[in-house]
Amino acid sequence: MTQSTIESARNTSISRAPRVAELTPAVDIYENDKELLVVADLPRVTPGSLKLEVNHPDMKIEGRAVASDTQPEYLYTRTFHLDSSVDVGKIEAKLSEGVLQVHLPKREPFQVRRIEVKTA
Amino acid sequence: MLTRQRNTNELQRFAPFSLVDWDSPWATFGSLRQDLDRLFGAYERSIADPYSNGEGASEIRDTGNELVLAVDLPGVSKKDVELSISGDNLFVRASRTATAPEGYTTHRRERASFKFEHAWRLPVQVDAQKVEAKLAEGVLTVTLPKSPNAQPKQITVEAG
Repeated sequence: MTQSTIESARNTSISRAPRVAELTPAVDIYENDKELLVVADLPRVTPGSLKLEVNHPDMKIEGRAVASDTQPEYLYTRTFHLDSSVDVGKIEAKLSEGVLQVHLPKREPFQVRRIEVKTA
Repeated sequence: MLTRQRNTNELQRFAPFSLVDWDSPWATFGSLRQDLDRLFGAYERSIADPYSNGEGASEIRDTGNELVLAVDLPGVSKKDVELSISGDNLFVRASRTATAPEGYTTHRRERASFKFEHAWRLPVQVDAQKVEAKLAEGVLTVTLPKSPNAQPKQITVEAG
């Protein structure tokens, strides 16, 4: 083994990124006439460390819980499969108190319309 | 000490077709299994709960002049946190109730209600009057300034 091979082998082991613990966040899914609502627990995740990606038909939540002196870094990930009823362009998300709420509006034809029945 | 409550009576319903959860495609089988367990009077739920509310993880840091406590409490609002100090004991009590938003039907319910209660014995004296607490990003952070005689001091070693 040449010197350079040894060197590169050593570099690989040193530079290997520390393994990040992956967690599956607890999720609630709700639905009403107009939309689906996904709620996820993401403590220690900030708006800046949260990624919400829609790559049709997948929607991926990826939140990095920032490490501190004694707490390891966590990665909360979860992927959902969206069908055509979701209006992808109108998805809205908000993060507060460590809880993420993703509103997924349904496209017009899939929204429930209640029709009032009139008496003759 | 951690108490978790989960409403096991509520049957986990099938996810809507528009939201298939790829990370737990067997969830529906899990609920089928629960039904069977109940049917045969099985006491234990042997499938461990794989989802994380992430609550209760905590740490105390010593920054030199102060102690900093951080506890993960997702979805807990300010009014549901109780914090008290007596002597060198620090108590934190917090809870949240998982409720479905009004007007929505529930397809999946993993986020459990919880009660968190913990006491810490502080390693140094703190100035209880100057303790500050804040709740952000689902994390309760308590800053406890050390009392003057517990502050670090630099002692110069003089040559004899």
